[in-house]
Amino acid sequence: MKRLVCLVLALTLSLAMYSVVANAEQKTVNFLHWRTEDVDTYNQIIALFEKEHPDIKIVMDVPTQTYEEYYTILKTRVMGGGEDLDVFAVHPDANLKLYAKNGTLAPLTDLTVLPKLNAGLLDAGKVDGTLYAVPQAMNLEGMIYNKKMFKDNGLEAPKTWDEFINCCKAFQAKGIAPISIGVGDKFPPVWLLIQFLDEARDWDWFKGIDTGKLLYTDEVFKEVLSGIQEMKPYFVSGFEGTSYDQSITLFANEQAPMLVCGTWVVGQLASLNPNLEFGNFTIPYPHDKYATRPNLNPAQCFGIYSGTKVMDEAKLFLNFLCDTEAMTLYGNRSIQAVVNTEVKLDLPALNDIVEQAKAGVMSNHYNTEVPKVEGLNQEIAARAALGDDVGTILQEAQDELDLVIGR
Amino acid sequence: MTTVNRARRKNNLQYLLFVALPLAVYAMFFLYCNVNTLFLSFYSWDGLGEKLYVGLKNFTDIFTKSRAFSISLKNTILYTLVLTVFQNLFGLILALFLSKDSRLNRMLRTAFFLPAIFSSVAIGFLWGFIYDPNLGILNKLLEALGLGALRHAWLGEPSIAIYSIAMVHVWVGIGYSMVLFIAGLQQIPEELYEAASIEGAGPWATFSRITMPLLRPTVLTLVVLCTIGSFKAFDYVYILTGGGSVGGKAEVLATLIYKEGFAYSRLGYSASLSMVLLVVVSVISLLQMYLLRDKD
Repeated sequence: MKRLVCLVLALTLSLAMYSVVANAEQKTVNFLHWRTEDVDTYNQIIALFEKEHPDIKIVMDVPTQTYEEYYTILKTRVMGGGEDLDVFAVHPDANLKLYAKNGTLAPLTDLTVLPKLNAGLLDAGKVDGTLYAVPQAMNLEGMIYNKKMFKDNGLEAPKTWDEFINCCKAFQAKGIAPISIGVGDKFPPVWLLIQFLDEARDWDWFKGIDTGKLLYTDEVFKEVLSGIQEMKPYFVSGFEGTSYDQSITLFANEQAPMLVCGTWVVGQLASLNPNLEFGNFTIPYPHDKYATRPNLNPAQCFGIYSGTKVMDEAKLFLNFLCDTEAMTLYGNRSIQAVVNTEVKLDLPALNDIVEQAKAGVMSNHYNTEVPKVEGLNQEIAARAALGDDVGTILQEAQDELDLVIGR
Repeated sequence: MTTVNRARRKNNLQYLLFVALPLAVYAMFFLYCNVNTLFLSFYSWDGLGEKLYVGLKNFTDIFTKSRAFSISLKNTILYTLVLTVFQNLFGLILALFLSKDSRLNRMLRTAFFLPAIFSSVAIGFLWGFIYDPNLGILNKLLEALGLGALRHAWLGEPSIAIYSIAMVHVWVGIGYSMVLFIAGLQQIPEELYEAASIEGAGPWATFSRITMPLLRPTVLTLVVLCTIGSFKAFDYVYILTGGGSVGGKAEVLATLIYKEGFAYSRLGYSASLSMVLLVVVSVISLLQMYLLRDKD
């Protein structure tokens, strides 16, 4: 018995030692992002990569989908020395600038896949002219709408503000709450703010927020928040406490014909209700003061940690991730428009998005280096949706921003 | 050296060895962290680049300019009041009913104590569903009872969100207060109640003249613990509102500290908020201990 136990122990130890040695020959690349809904898709892409490169193992980590939580986790890993940080996702906003300027992100100018990517969208990943992060997908913010419910009520996707309000009134008259929105999670109303600001102003304008050249108390913000408040009567009952996920569920269950969300939700809607006929439209600017134009939002951008010990392997993986095969798989499975210009996707809705994107403008709210601006944008939009006084909201937001920028 | 001194030194060394590890853990995870935080509070730092010394600027910003601090302090105080009063009041009521030893009482005590041992994350998600304005059981129940007018967006309406969250914490903590009160009640000698009964004291007189005074140490302990716990409250607020959402009106100090530090990369400012929280909690706890001390 004693001999048997010793034999089993010896075998176990040998197997363990073998796996250590075997794995020691394999390089590990850690892959961090927030797209919880794309885990299966990325697993497929990783499997394809590892088949081509058996000496490289990709360890994917998707700890959260929440913006604040993700950056908490990322920051603690960077501050902890970045031991398990190689390829990671970053938004092309103040966080990209922060991590690039602090030397956390490695320059990516030598990636071989770059010529295949949409050059305009690549600008989103640049800081002071150097590329630090590569966008994989793009989204449009706007209104997702139920085509069948619109058609059944004799309506079409609105092209003007009046048409939009009339659609809302028509649904409301029939006892249908027109707009599903998850104000309970604070961030959905900001998509209305962002969209309206992109229709009103261009990319360079928003940069002024960092220095006080642009103030929250400026007239355009008042117009935009007032526009959000004009939409408030058409929000679903209990919108104040409805979470983002619940708002999607309400729309997927056809309890509301419109959903405030970006096109990143297309895949989720398709899986929640495969029979759902839906599309998206850009919400016209309040009272059509500015022309309707879609805004381009690069989705997750991927960068490489400058202190990684597997730089070559990380670049190899990033090239693969953004190349045609992986992006086609990603675009078709996650149902998102991708940045690789060689990709042809199966779903017509995605091609619609790509078509709309041709007339789109880069969303200007990314053009800031102050992380708090994102939080303040969310707060002013959420408070406007709740009906707070617009002047008070904006003054208080500016006061908070002044503390940060030292104005 | 005498034998006695040698033995004493040997004993002292043994005592020191026993406390060395907990002391080391305390020094590393409490003292070092707090001293580090204190130093950081005088700097501006984004967590990645160089620290910039700003002196008292963070503190002056907090007390003179920050609206977010005022709101979060107010919400924290409201949260504390609700938690301290209701958790201990309901806990005391349950304790009075369940202090006698019986099979039924033991089962009920266990049932009421269970929420205290569940994961706060699980409880937060559970109550998130209960409070859902469209699909949640609370509003559905109110409708079914013909009380549809009382339906609310419990976590969305700024005027009630903080109270809704505090009541979740109350629900979790009632069992804990109940257990401590039961322990306190069982310490009270039975003879005192017999003597009171002989003297003709009614239930209220018995409760106010015998039970409550003798429960004072338990009350003090629970009030101080509830105060400290609620000033640090983070998990239920964060999980139920995504970090004090509803336009920041359910923000409490702990969520503000977290967001300023990690979401907005203002670690120096966040550290100064932590120091303010430490001082506030210390002052309030000392004040409570003074006011509720045994004056005899």
